[in-house]
Amino acid sequence: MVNKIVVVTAHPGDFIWSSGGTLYKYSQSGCEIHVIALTDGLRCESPIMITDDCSLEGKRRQIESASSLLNITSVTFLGYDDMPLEIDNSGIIKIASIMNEMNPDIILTHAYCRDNTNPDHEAAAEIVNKAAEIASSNHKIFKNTMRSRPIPIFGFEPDNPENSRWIPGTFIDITPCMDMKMEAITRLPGFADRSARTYEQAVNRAIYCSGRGGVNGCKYAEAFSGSTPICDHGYFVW
Amino acid sequence: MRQKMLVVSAHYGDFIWGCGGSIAKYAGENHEVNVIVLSSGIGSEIKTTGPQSAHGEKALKEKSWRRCEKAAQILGVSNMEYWDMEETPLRMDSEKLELLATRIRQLRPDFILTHDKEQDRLNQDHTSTANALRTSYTIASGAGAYCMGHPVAPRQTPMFGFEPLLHDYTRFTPNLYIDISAFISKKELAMEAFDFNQLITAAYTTKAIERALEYKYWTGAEECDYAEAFSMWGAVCMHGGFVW
Repeated sequence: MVNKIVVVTAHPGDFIWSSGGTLYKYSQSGCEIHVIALTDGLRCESPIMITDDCSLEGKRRQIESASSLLNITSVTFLGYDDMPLEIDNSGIIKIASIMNEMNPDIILTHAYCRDNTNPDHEAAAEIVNKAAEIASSNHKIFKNTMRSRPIPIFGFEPDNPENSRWIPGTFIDITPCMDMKMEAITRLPGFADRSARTYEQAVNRAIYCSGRGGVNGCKYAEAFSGSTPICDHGYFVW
Repeated sequence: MRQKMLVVSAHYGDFIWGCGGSIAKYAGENHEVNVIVLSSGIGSEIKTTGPQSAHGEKALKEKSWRRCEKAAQILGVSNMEYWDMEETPLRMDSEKLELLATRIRQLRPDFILTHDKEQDRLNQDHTSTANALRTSYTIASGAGAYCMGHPVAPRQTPMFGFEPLLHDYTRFTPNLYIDISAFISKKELAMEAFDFNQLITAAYTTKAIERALEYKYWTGAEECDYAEAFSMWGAVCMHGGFVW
């Protein structure tokens, strides 16, 4: 049972394109979703030259507006610079503390693989993996030392999965959530191409999900990679 | 809901070692377990005590098959099927591939356990079996294939791969673990009843202990003494969410 998800996104928009449908699906069943945006994506995730509309405050308002459509519980902006994204050890420990405090069932973030189109994504994956490992430990700085296992981490599909040696491990049928996802994307104006690509990819993934995957009636799906083997489930699962 | 498992084993012993504990678990919970054994494997599995004559080979095959059946009975297998094919090398020609696809359509299993999808350089028959399944489940779900008129399988059946004996020499990746602590005694009894190769039996007992340590690491569970590891042939879809 997933009651709490922590989503870590390199740039604020990434998580909406990659997992908006899935998050909306989970939020509807009462799951808490906390988003941590490492950067504000001002350099690489601004559709046009910086203007008033995509100033820091403007951008954060857009993300909050999109998040509220998806029933996201909270969005935390850490405000690191993007391009390149660099977080030192004290920053990683700070993120680990947030994760430890939130104590999520799973973490959702960028896939732990090469991303030749956006190195910030692979930097984020590495930061999250390090932070999650620390958060799962009984480190003396943490209040919550109850965790005795690694937090399962699932990875976003990268922009160019074939160039990233990325392998999907889980497909999630988001057919009933697709309208809301597309609506959320419109709250970030100026990303018509991203919006089109997100739509096409969801159709593409649904082909696997409904065909090989056997999910009848799936028209839109999101794909994720998994980093940990399936154990808790207890049975063969597909 | 009662599930239907199909296990396809290259040789007599592979299913006992590879998934005996999981079979016992599923059988114990009243699921249906079907096993297809393609060949005897006495050529590849008994190197030191092999038969010296054709007559001896036949007798050994029969004796071993009786032991294999006994082991299956201990594990609680519902149906056993033996194809008595030539082994080492095991060759699945198009007729046999069609027959395997037909059996998949007839049985309509919820999932299939068989050899790992990655090449097993130390036992070519295991690779051949995995490759045969890859082809046969495609045929089974191909509406244009006749398969003696049985209705087409609704999808390419989900498959899971056994941990190979020498997993460090293959690209086997454990994607799923099953806690078999409650069923290890049955698995050990079955391996003992099969009485084929003590080295392999010892190796799979040790593996189960090692996999249990990993299981405890991943889950944080206090208790797990024995586990079996499997690879996954495809992505999780029907579950509908994240699963770990």
